[in-house]
Formats: sequence, C-alpha cells, structure tokens
Amino acid sequence: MIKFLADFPAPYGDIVYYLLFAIILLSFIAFSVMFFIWLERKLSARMQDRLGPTRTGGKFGWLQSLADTIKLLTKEDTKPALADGVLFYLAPYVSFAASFAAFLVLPLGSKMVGYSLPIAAFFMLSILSSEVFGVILAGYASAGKWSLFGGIREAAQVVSYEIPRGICLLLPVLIAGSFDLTEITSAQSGPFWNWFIFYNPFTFIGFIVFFICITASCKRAPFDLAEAESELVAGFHTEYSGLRWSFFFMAEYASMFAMSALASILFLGGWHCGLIGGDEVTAFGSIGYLLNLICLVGKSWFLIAVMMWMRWSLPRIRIDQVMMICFKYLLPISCFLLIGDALWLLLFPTNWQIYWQYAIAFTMIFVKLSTILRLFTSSNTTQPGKLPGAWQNLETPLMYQKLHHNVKQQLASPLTQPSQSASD
Amino acid sequence: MELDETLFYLIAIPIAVLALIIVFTTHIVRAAIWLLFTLIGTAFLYFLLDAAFVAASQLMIYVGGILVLLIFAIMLTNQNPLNRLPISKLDRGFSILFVLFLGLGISVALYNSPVISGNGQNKTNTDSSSKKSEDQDEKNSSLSNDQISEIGTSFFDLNSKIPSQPMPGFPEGFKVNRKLPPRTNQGYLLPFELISIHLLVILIGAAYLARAKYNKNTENVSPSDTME
Repeated sequence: MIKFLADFPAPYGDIVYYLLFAIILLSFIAFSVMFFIWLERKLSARMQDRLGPTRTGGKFGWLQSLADTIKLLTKEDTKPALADGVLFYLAPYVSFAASFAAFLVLPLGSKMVGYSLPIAAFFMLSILSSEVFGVILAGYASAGKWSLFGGIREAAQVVSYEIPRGICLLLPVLIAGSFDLTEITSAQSGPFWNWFIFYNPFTFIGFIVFFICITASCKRAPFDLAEAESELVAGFHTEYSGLRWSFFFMAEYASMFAMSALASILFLGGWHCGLIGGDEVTAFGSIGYLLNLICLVGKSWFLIAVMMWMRWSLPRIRIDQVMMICFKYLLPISCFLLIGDALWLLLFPTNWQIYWQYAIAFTMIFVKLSTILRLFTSSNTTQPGKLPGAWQNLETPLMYQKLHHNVKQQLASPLTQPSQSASD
Repeated sequence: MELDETLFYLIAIPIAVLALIIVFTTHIVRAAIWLLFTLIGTAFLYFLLDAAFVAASQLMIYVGGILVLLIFAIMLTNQNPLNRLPISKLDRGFSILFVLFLGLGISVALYNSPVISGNGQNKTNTDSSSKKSEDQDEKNSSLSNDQISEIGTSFFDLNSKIPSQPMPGFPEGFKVNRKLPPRTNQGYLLPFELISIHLLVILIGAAYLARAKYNKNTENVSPSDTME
C-alpha cells in the first residue's frame, strides 16, 4: 500500500496517505459509537430489569443501531423559524470536529498514532475542551429557552471541570517526566503494579478524581444537566433532528472514548496488558501490536461501561451541586494531590517504592475479588434498610439513619435508639 | 507550489477573511463565533511551524478559556439593543479615515524596512546556491538554547552579552544592540512593568465604565455595593 502511494507525485502521496488514515479513524469511531449505543441500551435495560432490543438482527438486537442510523438518515431536517441559520447548521460539525481531532494524537498502540506529538496529553485536553462550543452554539442558535439553558449550563460545567481535570493530568506527567503519551505508557510497561494508578496514594485518588472530571466534561449522567430531559426536554439539542442530532450523539460518544483512552493511558498502563514482564512487541513480535490495540481498546471500553453503569445508577444532581462538587471538593483535592505527588517523588525512598506498589496493587485485587465473591455468595432477598448484593450486611447509608432519627424524635423513647447505625 | 505553502494559504486566507468578517458584521454573537475560527486557524498556523506547544496553549487559553468566557458573557447580557451593533455614519467615516491612515503608515514602514526592500539577509544569499541558502534559513529561523537564555537573562539585566549570532526576525544589518554599552543597568523589566500597570489601569477603567449605574435618589445604595 505504502509502496503504491510512493509512486504518486510528491505532495499528493502524503495527502492520500493522511486522508486514508483519517477515513479509517472516522469509520472506527462511527463503528464503535454504534456499538456503544447498543451496549448502553442493553446495559440500561439489564439494570432496570428489562430486556432491551431483542428483535432487530437476532436474539440480542445486534442491528438495532444500524436500524437507528437508517431512521436518522431518512428523518426530516428541521430548523425553528427564529433560529440563527448559519450558527444552527454549524454547531453539530463544530462539536464533532473537536472530539474527532483528539484522535489525531491518541496512540492506540505502540507506534499506532496518527501524529506523534511530544505534548499529546496537553493537546488532547485543549482540543476536547473546545468541544463545548458546539453545545453553546446549538443552545444559542436554536432560539429557545430550553436550548439556551442547556448551553449555558454546559459552558459553566465544562469550563469549571477543566481545572481539576488538567491538574489530575499532571500527576502521571510528573512521574513520567513527559507530556508524550507514548513515553507515559512506556514508563508503565511490565506487570500491572507498574501502572501509575498504583504508583502512590495520590495517583490512586487522582485517577478517581480524573474519572469524575471526564464524566462531567463528557456531560454524562449524573452530570448531564445540559440535556436534562426531565427539565429541559432535551437541552441544547431540543430543536435538532435527523443527521444533525446524530452528530451530537457521535461527538458525545467519541469524546467518551477519547477521554477513557486518555485515562487508561495515563493511569491504567495504556496498551500494556500488565501480565507479562516487559513490552508486548519485544515479547511476541508483530502479534504484540494487535495485543496492544486489544488491550487499550478493552480498557477504554471498560471505563465507558463504568460510565454507563454510573449513568443508570445515580440520580442527576442540581447545577449548584455540580459547581459545588467541582470548586469545593475536586479542585482542592486535586491541588493537594499534585503537591503530594511532587513531595512523594522528592522524598519517598526509591527502594521502598516497589513494595508500596506491590502492597496497593495486591490489596486492590483482594478487595475486588472478595467483593465479587460476596456477590455470588449473598442471598437473593434483601432485608429492609440493608444494602443488597455484595454489601448485604451493611445498612443503607443516610436514609436508614434519618428514618431512625425521625422515629426517635416522634416517640422520644430510649428503646428506638439506633445504637449500631452510627458505627457503620 | 510546495505542500507547506499550499497549507499555509489554505489556513491563512480563511483567517484573514474571517477577521474581516468579525470587523464588518453587526451581529455580536456571530462575531464571537468567527473569532473562534480565527483563533483556531492561528493555532493551525503554529502547528504548521512545528510549534506544537504554542498551538496547544493557544487552543487551551484563547479558545477553551477566554472565548468561552466571552461567549458566556455575551449570552448572559444578550439584550435586544446589544444584539446588533448600530453603526452611525460618523463612526463609519472616522473608521475609514483611521484605517487609511494606519494602512499608509504600515506600508511606508514596510517599504523602508530592510527585509522587504532587500537590504537584509536575503541579499547575502542571492549568489549562493539554493541548497546553501536553505541551510542558512534553517540556521536563522530557529533559536538555539543559548540564545533563548540570553534573551531571558538580559530581560532582567543579568547579562550584558549581545547576541553573537544573527537573530531571526532581525535583518543582518541590524546593529542597534551592538552600539549599547556593555551593561545598561536597566534591562527590559521597567517597560514590561509599565505595560502591565497600563493594562491594570485599563481593566479598572473598564470595570468602572461597565458597573451597574446606581440611582442618585436612592442614597442608601453605595457604588461599592453595585460594583458586585
């Protein structure tokens, strides 16, 4: 293929090569978006005790997304009479172009990167932060109250969450000493306790803070105030239909994928599987490249599945709570984490570093395995006031205590004192 | 035409056209949106010059930060009289006069400058082969680390050295620096501070002009309350 392109006259070979790469990337994004939509439907259905799509394309509804795409392509493209025409038509493309451009510098494996940039992590943050313009434009140009509210909420939310997100990005950058995503990943090669999430307690909390921030900047629930369907109909894309609406959808899922891949590169070892003691490509040869791709995409899909899990488990929070979480909690926490990470690198003895990594990595694996074990050994019925599943003996937080408190106030009797709920 | 040159024109022409549209449009939100595209185009130009960090900073600070705030402010204060900016005939006449005057000044300055009129470094390369001149250009177009640190230290007047190599952006015959005494004892810190204090004064003035106007009849409302 490359030999064939070399026969072209000088600039055109390059142009064709880059265009080809862009088309492959674009179709990969579109394909994975279709997969994510199907996955979200199935996951949400399972969490709500439903079946989800079952008919189109067989037992699991594989082709439901394809059917949706055909439906969206044939829908009428409408525009409100009062809308600002140019901006209304421009907004979906701005939104999609920003999230698509982030894939330019995102390495999907060793040497599998569109444009190897020494400051790729910084570039990804900056380009993904300009995705908000599409939403603001759509909100303004639709000339509707709901859309405008959605756009303004989105602007406030994304701009605020950029700050803790950028500070948390600096934690692995400090350890690796580089903004280059390839170098950050190669610093985490080897077994899984070399991943930066296990490097010190600050990166461990930093990953959680970063994950909350990327959930908020991808406007996923519980932070989906820009399109809160119970208050704002559909928020910023109320007036959009057909293909233009699907561009917003593609942008959302594409930026989810980009952000999850960035999180797994920064904290979860990137394209290293974490089971062998070295680099995959040196160990397995050219199969290693495929393994790299599978590892990174698998980790990103896992993080996206966690995002969907959060979406269908947690209620939407109010806009003042969104701002409070960012400025009162995440921002001070992330500043503290940055200072702590720097001090750790300066002061923690290097010979003890590996023991810390062993300790936290194996503790986390033990916690996860025991949780899964409890999930299978727990009873199917749930007692009132107790949590289900793996947490079956724990009391429901807050709610049960409040209930006890009310009962205590009403009866004013020493018999109803919640003696053990406070200790939990 | 080389690929770089083609790409430069592909980016630069839209930037120039959009900059003109920003000036001429009366629709304030659209002006902000076209400003977005000029800023992104400028970032593209930095990418074309292999200055990736400057480009990403441009995207982060101007596109992701300042412009979001700008659009946010416009959307919040978007009342009907502000939606479209009316232009009176007097304004138009003054601005045309000013633009003509400024354009004349800039073109005279450009015409007299050594780079355009050929007195500068390009003249020395005319007789040498094309490959040699490319090497020369490459040498001139990138600052070495020593030069950068020289600029930084002379900013604070910690360094009395005059740059030994020709600097990019300055023509070969540019010798003003070399006439300076070896130690000037002032650096460039004072002009820098003056400019920043000037900006602060402008900021305070803008805040004073834009603050909520209080009614003189209600005397219990102080101006400091309405500032917030």
